[in-house]
Amino acid sequence: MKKQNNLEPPMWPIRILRWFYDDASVEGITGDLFETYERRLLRLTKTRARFYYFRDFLSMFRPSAIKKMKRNITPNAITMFTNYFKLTIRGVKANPMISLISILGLSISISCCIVLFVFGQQIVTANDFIRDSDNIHLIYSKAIDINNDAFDWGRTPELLGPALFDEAEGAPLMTRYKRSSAVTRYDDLVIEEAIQFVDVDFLDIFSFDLQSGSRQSLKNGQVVLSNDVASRFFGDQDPIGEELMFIINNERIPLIVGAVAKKFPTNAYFDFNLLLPFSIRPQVDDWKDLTHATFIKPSNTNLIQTLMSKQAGYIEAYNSRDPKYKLTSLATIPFSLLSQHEHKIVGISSVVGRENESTLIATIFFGALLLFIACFNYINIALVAASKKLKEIGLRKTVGASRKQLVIQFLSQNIFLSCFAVLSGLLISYLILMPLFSSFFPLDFALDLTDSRLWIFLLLIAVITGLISGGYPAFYISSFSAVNIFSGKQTFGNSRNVLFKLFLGLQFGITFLIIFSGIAFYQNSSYQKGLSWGYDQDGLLIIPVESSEQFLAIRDNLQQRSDVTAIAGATRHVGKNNSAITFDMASEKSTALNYPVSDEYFNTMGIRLFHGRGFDPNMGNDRNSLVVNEAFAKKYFIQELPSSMADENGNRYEIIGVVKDFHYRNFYSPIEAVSFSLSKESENRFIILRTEASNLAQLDGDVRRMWLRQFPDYPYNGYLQADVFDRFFREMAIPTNSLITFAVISILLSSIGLFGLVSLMISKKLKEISLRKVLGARMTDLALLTNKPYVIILGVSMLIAAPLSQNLVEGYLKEVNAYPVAIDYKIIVPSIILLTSVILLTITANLYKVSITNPTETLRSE
Amino acid sequence: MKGTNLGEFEELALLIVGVLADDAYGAAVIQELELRTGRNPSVGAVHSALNRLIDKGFIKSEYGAASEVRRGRRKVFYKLTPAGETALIRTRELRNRLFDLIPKLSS
Repeated sequence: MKKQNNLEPPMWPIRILRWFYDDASVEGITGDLFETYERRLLRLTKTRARFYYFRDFLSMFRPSAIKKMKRNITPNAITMFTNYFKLTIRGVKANPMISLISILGLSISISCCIVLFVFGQQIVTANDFIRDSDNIHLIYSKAIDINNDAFDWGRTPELLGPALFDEAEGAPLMTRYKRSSAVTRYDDLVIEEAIQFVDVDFLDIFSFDLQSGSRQSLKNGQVVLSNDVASRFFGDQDPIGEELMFIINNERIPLIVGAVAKKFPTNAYFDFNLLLPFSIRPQVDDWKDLTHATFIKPSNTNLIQTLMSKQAGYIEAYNSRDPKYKLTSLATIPFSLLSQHEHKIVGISSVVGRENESTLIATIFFGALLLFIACFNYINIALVAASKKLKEIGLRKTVGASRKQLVIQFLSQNIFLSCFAVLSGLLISYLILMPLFSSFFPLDFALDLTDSRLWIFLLLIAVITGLISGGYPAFYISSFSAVNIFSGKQTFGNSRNVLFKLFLGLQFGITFLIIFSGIAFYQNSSYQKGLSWGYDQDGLLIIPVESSEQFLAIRDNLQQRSDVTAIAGATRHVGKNNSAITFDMASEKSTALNYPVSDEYFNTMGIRLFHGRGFDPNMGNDRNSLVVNEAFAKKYFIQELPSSMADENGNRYEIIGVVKDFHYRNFYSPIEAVSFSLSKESENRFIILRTEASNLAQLDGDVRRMWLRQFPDYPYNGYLQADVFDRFFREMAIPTNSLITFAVISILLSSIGLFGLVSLMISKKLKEISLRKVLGARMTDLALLTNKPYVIILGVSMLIAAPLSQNLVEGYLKEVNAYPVAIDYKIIVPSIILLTSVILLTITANLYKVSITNPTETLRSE
Repeated sequence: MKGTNLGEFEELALLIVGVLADDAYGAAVIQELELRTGRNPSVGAVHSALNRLIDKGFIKSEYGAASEVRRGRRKVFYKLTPAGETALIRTRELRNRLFDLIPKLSS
């Protein structure tokens, strides 16, 4: 019965069955499978017959059938595996350099994966130390902005929480969370600390572990310290029962320390510094006052609906106070969603932070890339190494080894090797990479060896790398027919092999991408460090003050100093904080940043005025004048000076001058419309001093001493203007440092992989090379000969990888940064040179060995 | 050995093996089951039933000839053992006895 080919049943299910059943039963079963299929083919359509065929195949895996399956783990099999293990060890010993290269390569990339795993876990498990977080709900506002567009807002009226709480039945727990700061004093130590006002239920809702003290502290009107604060103020001393003095709204409030929290876990994106009970604040009675967050933990979920149904009155109470953003309704979201998923609630990220999901994706991406480089290395080396074993394979096949046995042997040897690699990778990451990466990030990561997830991950990595790196060689080599091997027809693993070229090319391409990104990020950060800020930030000392008295006292004192070349005051200061003015444009409302400053400000800061004039304190109406930047002028089409604009309340502003654009925040965001107005002297809270850059340290020290003499109750917070972007540069340094590390590692991986590969190749071609030498070939010819195939692969892979990397990196930098460095030859050329020279050096290093051996040595043997 | 009771499907398979006498192998049993009962059993179901019957000692298996339609695979023939025959008779007697005990059965 001859069937057309397309009516043949697929054979792969049979092959799979053969894996599970012994040969005897597989024969009967597959025969029945075929026969039944053929019979059905006569009655049914091909599709239906096939469907039944697959159903029959799957039915062989029913639980009762599995009992009949072959037992793989027989005493015999155990002996077999121990022998494979022995063989693996012997293989390593017999070929120490190549094995070392493969294992080292794998373990380096595995150690990177471990670091990335810890990092990824950090993000995935964010805030998981807070128990029962599904049951904690944030109440947030649905509000409308000045242009009547709806948005979700994390803030809620301060009175809302207590009001809901008073009405609720079933005793829900409620806490508000309001950030503030207070001058905090213990003995002689005065520090301005961030504080959080919370309600008494806070510690009952959020299960922060306490190091010492009582969970009832807030209820007793005592403060709760974070571990950091406790060690800052008290060192090793026990803080419980000690008294801290706070200055809040110019009022001195002594409070007893009731409890100290344990050090927050590294995955804590919700924490506190100093918890103060709301009760110590004078109770607000204005619905307009807002709190940063309101959380409730109801005893049952119906309660939330009940509470939410009562919201209309509260919204009305808030809206009747004529706030900037009116509320339309209130909504709730579980805390667990807040910390782990994308949400659009404005302002909540400062309370419950969350890593960007793109960071996670980038992490996984680079981990996978590195692992693949190592696997490619391994595959290439394994392929070439196996060519030495061809005869062995042929012989084993001849004496009756089944293909399955060969595959299992190769795979199990690979998995043994990758287990070694995982263990040494763990060691490398523990000793080198973990500390290195911890120094990049502001958090301290640690490898928790007791974490079961880590071990599951390691096991998975071992098996996956074993399968990926061993799978291809195992299946490929075992497919050779013994006859071909012995007749010498079977050739592979040389540079004519397409797959081999592909692997090598891919590896070069990936290495190029990583090197390219590393260089691009490095160039970017040095480019941004060199960018002009638009004013002269060097030689500026800024002294924030708490009150008008402090301002006047310090300023008057400093005005007499000869080394202070200019002095200015400001209510809000560039680089620190700003206010905003909302202008009423014809079609919509539009907000621009505003800095109220003194008339000396531009001169002191070095901000250049290039149209109109600055403020003149002698002209009475300068109170309603604005000096704006170029972006402002462009945005609002200011054609001539002075021109006039009105804000939403109908106040008119006269625009009298335009200054050059300057960077006021950081390089993430572009320069937007900025305006300056003339500040009232009594409201100035910053003193800006200009001096010679060399005098700065001296001046800073003098001002500090003067401050401590005059205002011992207040901390001295003076800082250098040149440092205000430090945080930005530190943030940018994180991906830069990580990428440079990755680039170094990937170069290392590629070169040791290539080194192993080339040395294997050369040892195969040793005779050929020796003959050439004998016949008078020069080393340069030989170098050309051996390098040629690699140079071609490298060239092709770079031709593809270069534009790809350029687009990828450029896109990313533009996405994150408003002022990225241009991706041009300055980045492409070094990357190409670096990769090419590393690769050529690696190959040439191998040739050196050949050049010093006497060709007769190799030719004489055999 | 776990019980020598016959399950419903096992009983059917055992009967068919008996019916087919010298020509009882996997695919034939399946075909016969389809024909006689209108069921559409899967190869896996039939094989696991036959294997259970072997475990219980009701049938024994031996290799037969290969054929082209089986892609060169040999057939595995099944044969009733004396124990299998006894089991068939016993279940039939049990059935009949119980059937007769039903007081009134329409039709």
